[in-house]
Amino acid sequence: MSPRDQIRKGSTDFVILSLLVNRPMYGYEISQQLARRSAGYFEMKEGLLYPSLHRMQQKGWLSTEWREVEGRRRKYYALTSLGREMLDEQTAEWKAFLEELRALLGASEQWAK
Amino acid sequence: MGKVTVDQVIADISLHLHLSKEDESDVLEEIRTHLEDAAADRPAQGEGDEQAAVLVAAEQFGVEEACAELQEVHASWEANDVILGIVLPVLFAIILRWLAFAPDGSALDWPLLLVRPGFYFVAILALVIPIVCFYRRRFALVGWGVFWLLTVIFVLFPSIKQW
Repeated sequence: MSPRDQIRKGSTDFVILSLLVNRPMYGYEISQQLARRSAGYFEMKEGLLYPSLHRMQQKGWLSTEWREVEGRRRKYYALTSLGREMLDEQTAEWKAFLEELRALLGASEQWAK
Repeated sequence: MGKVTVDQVIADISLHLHLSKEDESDVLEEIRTHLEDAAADRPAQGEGDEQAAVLVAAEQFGVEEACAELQEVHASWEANDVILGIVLPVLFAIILRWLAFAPDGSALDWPLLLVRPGFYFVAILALVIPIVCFYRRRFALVGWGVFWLLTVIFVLFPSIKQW
């Protein structure tokens, strides 16, 4: 697995939670938003979204609702209050991780010079 | 692959999934909508006819990887259900035997048993706790049936009163 795949796999839940912060979305919509907002960086096999969605639903981070839109039944996922707490927690963790990583990269770049 | 339809892709996916009917139909309906949406978007991107659109949608979906992970996500819950489904009815039948039956553990006559509050308390708990614990209520009802079966066995067969 490439470093990019590892990062992507480790951040899938966080990325999905971030997308759902403003409004509920259905699976295909999430995959399209993911591809569009990250300019393809977070693009993955679309079906792999569903295990993450279902896992987060089981944990109580997401709630679901079937809605009929334009004659098609779609399962919408929405953040629960627990999901919002998890998102806040993960946002803080990712920020700390990025700061540490940036510091590390800066040090190694200086050393390379 | 020859002519491919969303129905065929869904049939292929259902071969990879071994979930309860309830879960499987839920998952398949969700995937069907995804594939139909994805296939509907492809022609607008100029990728050819409907067949090709379904093929591309199925390829981008990643049927095998997604099914393997979905199976893992749902099967772990089903395993918990099975363990709870076996343990809880037996546990409650034994508790009922200890609490609601005669203090010496011998089986009472049914009419006597029915006036004991402990009997109703345990019988209701034996239904409510599995309903709260289980992902699927059907399992809770089956467990309650097993609980009653064990209870009736305990009452009807005096020869096992020393268990």
